[in-house]
Amino acid sequence: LHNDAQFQEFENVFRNAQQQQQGPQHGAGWHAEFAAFEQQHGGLNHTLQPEQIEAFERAFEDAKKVSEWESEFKTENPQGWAEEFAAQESNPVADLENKEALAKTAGLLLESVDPNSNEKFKNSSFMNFMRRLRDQEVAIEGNKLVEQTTPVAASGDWAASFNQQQDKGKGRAGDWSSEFESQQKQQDGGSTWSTEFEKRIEQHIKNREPGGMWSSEFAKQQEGSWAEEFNGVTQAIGGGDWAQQFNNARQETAQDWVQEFNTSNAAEELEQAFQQQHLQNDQNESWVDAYRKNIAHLAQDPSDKEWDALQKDWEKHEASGLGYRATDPRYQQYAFEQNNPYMVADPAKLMDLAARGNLTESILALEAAVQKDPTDAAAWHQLGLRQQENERETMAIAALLKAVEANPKELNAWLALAVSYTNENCRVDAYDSLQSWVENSDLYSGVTKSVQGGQGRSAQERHEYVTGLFLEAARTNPGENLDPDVQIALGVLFNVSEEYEKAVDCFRAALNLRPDDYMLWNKYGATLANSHNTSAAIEAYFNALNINPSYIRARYNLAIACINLGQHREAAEHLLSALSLQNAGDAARGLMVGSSTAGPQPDGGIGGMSQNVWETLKMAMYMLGRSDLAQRCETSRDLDAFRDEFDF
Amino acid sequence: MFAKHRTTGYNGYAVQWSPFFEHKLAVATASNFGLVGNGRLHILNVGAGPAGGVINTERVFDTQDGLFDVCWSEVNENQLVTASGDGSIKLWDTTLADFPIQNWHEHQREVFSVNWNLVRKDSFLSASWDNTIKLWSQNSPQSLQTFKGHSHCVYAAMWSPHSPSLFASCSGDHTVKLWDTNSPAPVQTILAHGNEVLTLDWNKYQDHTVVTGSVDHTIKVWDMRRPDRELNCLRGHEYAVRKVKCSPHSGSLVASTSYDMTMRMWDITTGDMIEIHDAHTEFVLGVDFNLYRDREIATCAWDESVHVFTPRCLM
Repeated sequence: LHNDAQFQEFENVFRNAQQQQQGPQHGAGWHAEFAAFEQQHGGLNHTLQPEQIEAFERAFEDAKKVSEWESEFKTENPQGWAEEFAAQESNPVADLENKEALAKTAGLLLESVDPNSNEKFKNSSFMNFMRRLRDQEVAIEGNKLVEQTTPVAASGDWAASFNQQQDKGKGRAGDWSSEFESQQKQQDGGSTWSTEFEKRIEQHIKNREPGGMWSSEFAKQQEGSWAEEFNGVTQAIGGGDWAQQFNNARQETAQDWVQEFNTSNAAEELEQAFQQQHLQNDQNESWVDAYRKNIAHLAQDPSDKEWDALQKDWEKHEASGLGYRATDPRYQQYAFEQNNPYMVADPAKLMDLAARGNLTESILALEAAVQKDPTDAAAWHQLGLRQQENERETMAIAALLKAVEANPKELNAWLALAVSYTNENCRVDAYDSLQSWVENSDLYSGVTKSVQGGQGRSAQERHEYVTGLFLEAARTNPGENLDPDVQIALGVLFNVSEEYEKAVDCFRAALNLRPDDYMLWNKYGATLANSHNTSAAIEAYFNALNINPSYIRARYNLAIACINLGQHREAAEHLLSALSLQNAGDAARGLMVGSSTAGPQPDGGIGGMSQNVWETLKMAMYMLGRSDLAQRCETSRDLDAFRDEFDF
Repeated sequence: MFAKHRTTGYNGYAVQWSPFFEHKLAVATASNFGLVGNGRLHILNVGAGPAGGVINTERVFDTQDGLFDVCWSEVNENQLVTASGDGSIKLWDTTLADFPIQNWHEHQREVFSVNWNLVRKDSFLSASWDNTIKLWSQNSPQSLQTFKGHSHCVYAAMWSPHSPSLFASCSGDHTVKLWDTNSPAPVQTILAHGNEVLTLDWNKYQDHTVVTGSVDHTIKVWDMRRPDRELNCLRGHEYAVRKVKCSPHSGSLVASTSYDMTMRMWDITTGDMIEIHDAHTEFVLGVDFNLYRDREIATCAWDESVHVFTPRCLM
C-alpha cells in the first residue's frame, strides 16, 4: 500500500504544507495571536493547577470520610462538602484566575462566530451559555456549573472589559460582532476559532476538574506541545517511539525526515508523556482486578480510590438497590498476626492486658485470647471493635462474625457488625445484623411480633422495617429507662437514610448514658458534620480525643472539620499529630512481632489511612501558602520537617 | 416520517443503530454540552409501520462523566460500549443492572470514539485526546495494543469493513493514518486537510475508499492507495464538519453533520450535495443509517433532541 516513492512525495507535500500553512490564513494568525495573548494575560496558569487537581481529588475522597467514624459511613453528599470547601478556600487568587481564563476563552469563541449571519446562532442556547461564561454569570466549580452571585470583572483583562462595554445579555450580538468583522477576513476563520476554542474550553475545564484522572506531568506536557503547535512549529508525526520503529523499517529518505522532526522538543515530551501513561497503567492493574471481582458482588475495601469513583456512580442507583452482599472470603477467615508475644502469656490475664494496653497491645492480646479459646465470643467482640478503631474494616467484620457464631447473644457484636457493613456498603447485611440484634435480645425480641413489614425485600422496605423494630424497642423503654444501644442503632439507621437531625438526637441520648464512649463521640461528631454543624462536630471530636488521645480517626475528622472552617493551621497540626501517633503505633507493632513479619498491613489499616492524611496535609500546606512543605508531603514525608513551625 | 425524541438535560454526542435489532438506537449524551457534569446512555426503541415515529426509552444508564461516543457489540445483541470524557470505556448490557459490566480506564484523556471490529468482531478500538488509539477485547481487563503515531488528539479510529486487521484514524494533527493491527506503526499517512480532521468513515462498497470531514468545512473522499490527493472534495457546510457516515445501503451516499447545525447528504461520485436537514437548533454531532430500514436515519444534536426520519432523497 505504500512505497518509498510515495513517501518522498509525501515528504515534499508535507514540507510545502509547513511553508505555506495551508488552510485559512486567519487560522495560522490566530494561533500566534492566541499564544501572544496567553503570554500577556497570564495564560491559563498551569503551574498551580496540577497540584490543585490532586488536592481536590483528595478533598473529594476526604469529603466522603467527613462523616466517618471508626467504621465509616460514606458521606452522602461529597459534592456539597467540596463546594463548601471550594467556596471557602483561602486561595481566591488562583480560583479567580481560573474563572477568568474560562470566561476569556468563552469570550474569544463568541467573538469568532458571527451570529448575525445565522438566525440559529442568535437563538442558540450553547452560544448563550458561552455568553454567560464570558460574563461570569455562571462558572465551573468542581464538577458543576454554579451561578455566580458576583460576576467578577477582571481589571487589566482586555477581553472582559471590552465585552463589558458591550451590551451584555440582551442578545444583540450583532453590535459587537461587527466590531470584529475587520479582524475576520473571511468567515472561514470563524470555524477554526469555534472548534479549537470549544476544545480548548473543554481541555482547560478538564484540567481543573477534580475528577480528572491525569497525571499532572502528562497534562503539563500535553499543554506544552499544544502551545508549540500554535506557535507554528509543525509537530513531528509521532513521538520518539514511533520514530524508532520507523527507522527500523525504512530507508534513507525516511531517515532524513525522521531526524529533522526528532529535533523538535515535542517528540521527547510526548515520549515522556507516553511513558507516564504506562506507569499509570501498571498502577491501574490491581484496581481492574478488584473491579472484576466486584462484578461477582464481592464487597471491596473502601480505601481503594478508583473503586470509590465507581461507588459514587452506583450509589446513585442505590435508592432501589441493596448494595452488596458480604460474601468476601476475607470475612470468613480471620488472619492472625504471626509471632504474637502474648501467645505465651497467662490466658487468664489476657483480657486484663487487652483493657490496659494501647491499641496494638490490645489487639495482640485479644488475638492470643481467641486463639486459645475460639469460643470466647466476648473476646472476639472486643477484637472486632479494636480492629474498627485500627481502620481495618474487613478484619473487624471477620472477628465480629466469629463472635456471633460463638454466641448469637453477644448482642452488641451485631450492632458493631451493622456499623461495619454499612461502611462497606453491604446494606442488606447491615439490616440483617440489626434485625439479629433485636431477635437475640431478651428484652426486645417481642417487638418483631408487633411491627409490620418483615417480608419486604427492597432497600426502602428493609430500612423501614428495621427502623420500626428499633422505634418500637425504644418505646418499651421510654424516658429514664432509655437504652443507649437502641439509640445507637437508631442513630446508625438515621445516618443511612440521611435523616441527620434524628441521628444526632439519638446519639446525644446515648451519650448521656455513656459519656466515656469515645467511638460514640466520634459517631456523634461525624453525624453533626454531615448535617453541616461543623463547630458542634469539632466539640464532639475533642471530647473523643480527651478520652482517648490516640484515637486517630477522630483526629483526622477533626482536621477535616477545621479545614471546613478555614482553620488550616489547626488542621495541619491535627494531621501531623495523627501521623506522629501512627508512626509510634507502627514502631510498637514492629517491636512486638518482629520487623520481618510486620510488613504493611494488608487491609490498609492505619497505613492505608496514612495516604489520605498525607494528601490532606499537602492540601492544607498549599492553603497556607507553603508549597515547599506541600512538596515534602509528596516526596520525603518527613515529619521532622514540620516540627519547627507546627505544634504536635 | 419524522420523529423527535428529547434527551432532556443532556446534549447528544453520538447515535448508533443496533446491528441486531431494526428498532433499537443507542444515544451517547453529556450534560452541559460535555463541558462539565455527568453523562447518559440512552437505549431507544423506534417504532415502524403503523407505529412509525413512536420513540420509547427502553432504558438509560448514567455515568459520572459525559459520554462522547457509543458503539454496539457485533457479537452480543444486548451489549454496547461507551467512550467517556474521563478517559474510561465501559461495556454495558441492556438486560443487566444499572452499572457497566466492564470498565476500562487506561486513556489519560477524553475518549472520543469507540468502534467495533466488523470482520472478526472480536475486538474494538478507542481513540483519545491523549493522542493514542487502543485495541481492546471485551474479555481482557487491559488493552491489547496501543497505537501511537498521531501528534495530536485522535478523533476517530474506524475499522475497515473489508479487512480484519485494518483500520484508519483521523486526528487534530491534520492527518489520516492507516494502521494494521499486526504492526505498531502506521502503514500509511495522509495529510488529509489543512486543519483538524474530526471524522472519517469507510465506504462499505469500495474497499479502499475513505471519507473524511474537517474543521476546514470540507468533506473529502480518498482512495487509500493514492494518499497524495483526494478523489473528491465536497463543500457546502458553513462550519466544521463533525461526523461523516457512509450509507450501508449505497456506495455513493454519505451523510455529514456540522457545527452549522445541519445534517447534509451527498453523492460522493458527483460531489453534489443532495439534501440539507435543518431541523436541529444546535450543533449536530451524530448521524447513523438504520441497517435494516434503508430509508431511516437518526441524528442527535446539542439541542437535546434525537431525530429519526426519512430524508426526501430516500423517499
